[in-house]
Amino acid sequence: MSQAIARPDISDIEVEINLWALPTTEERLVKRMNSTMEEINAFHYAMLPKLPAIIDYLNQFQLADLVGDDLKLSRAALAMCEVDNAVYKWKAPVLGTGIDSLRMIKKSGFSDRVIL
Amino acid sequence: MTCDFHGWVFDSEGQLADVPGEELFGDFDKSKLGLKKVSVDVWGGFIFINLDPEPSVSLKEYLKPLNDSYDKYLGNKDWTWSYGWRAKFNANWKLLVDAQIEGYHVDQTHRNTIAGAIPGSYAPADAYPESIGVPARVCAYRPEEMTGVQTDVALLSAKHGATSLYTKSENEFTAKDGEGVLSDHPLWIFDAYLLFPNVVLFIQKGQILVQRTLPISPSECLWEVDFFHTGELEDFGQLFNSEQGRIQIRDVLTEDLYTAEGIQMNFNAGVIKEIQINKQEIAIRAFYHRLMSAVKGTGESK
Repeated sequence: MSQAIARPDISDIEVEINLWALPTTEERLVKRMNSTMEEINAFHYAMLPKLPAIIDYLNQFQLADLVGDDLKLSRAALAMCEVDNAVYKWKAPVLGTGIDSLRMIKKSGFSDRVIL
Repeated sequence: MTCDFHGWVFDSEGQLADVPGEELFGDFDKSKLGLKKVSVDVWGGFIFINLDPEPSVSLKEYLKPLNDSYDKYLGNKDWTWSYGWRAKFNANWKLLVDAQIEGYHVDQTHRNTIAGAIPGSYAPADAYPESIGVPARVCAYRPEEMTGVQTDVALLSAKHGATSLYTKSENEFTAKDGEGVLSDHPLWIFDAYLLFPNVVLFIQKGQILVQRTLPISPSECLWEVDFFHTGELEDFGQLFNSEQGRIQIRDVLTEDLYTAEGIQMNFNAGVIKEIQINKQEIAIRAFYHRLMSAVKGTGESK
């Protein structure tokens, strides 16, 4: 049996984690769209050095077993996916050459017939 | 089965079996009021409904060159719907199809997202003039030397799965059943088949995308895209990979949709009356050729 991976020390970035650990992709999208680049960069560059260790740590659990502080940490890690393009490609919170992402309504299934 | 409108009851053969308040009707012959017959067939795990009760060609014939191997690969019961989006757009439905079946636009339209990951010259297309329902496909390959931005997050994601179209996964997806369908080319990403008239089916290792577009008016349409994967996400690495892939394709699609609405605005203004289609966009040529033959009612597929 492989050895358990210790939880990384994230005490110095708790503030950023608390700001971005939102439950859903859609909420993290809105957070990114409503943030300044200073706020986005602050989060991204605080998390980035610890992200590999955070993923390795979280990856040793089944998803259903992620609760409490670990669930919060997982949501902050997922927010790194949301801000990635803004930091490295757009240099802006919102893509200027695309439609408003919020126009794409999340479906609940293949045959979802939600009235638009 | 019972109709939710007035409670008419139909038997398993579609015959009208019971009508509440039947005496309220005058000349009433239940034997002539059964459900309308339609054709239903299954391919690749998808149910196809044809309003023609007696189609002149079978679904299997319609979908050539997609063959039994694809049927087996796509029909594998492990594929499950993962997520999708719907939207209403101010563009003709065909413009949203166009954007998904050619690679010529990628470097410019997607200059702020995936330019370099799939250069236009790495997206060859094929036309199938003998096919009735599959006019063309476009393939996507990675360049030998990646010129796009591969971020730390994308590379971390690639350690745990293959849901991003734009970053090479460190994991190899092994197809259960239907072996031999998927390209063995080490740089191959996906094939996108146009299922005439309004479905684009993306087939790749470990992921299927289905994009459907429905017209509302000449300048409005409903658009939706659905993603299928094999198996449930079990650990955080897989979830991280899924999230990264989902966001990348979402951002890329917003660019395609933005362009489609811009083209429609140009048409609406009456300034642009025609567009130029090049050799690399042969799939679009095949699409419109097939479309015009259908509109003319000639039944020609060539």
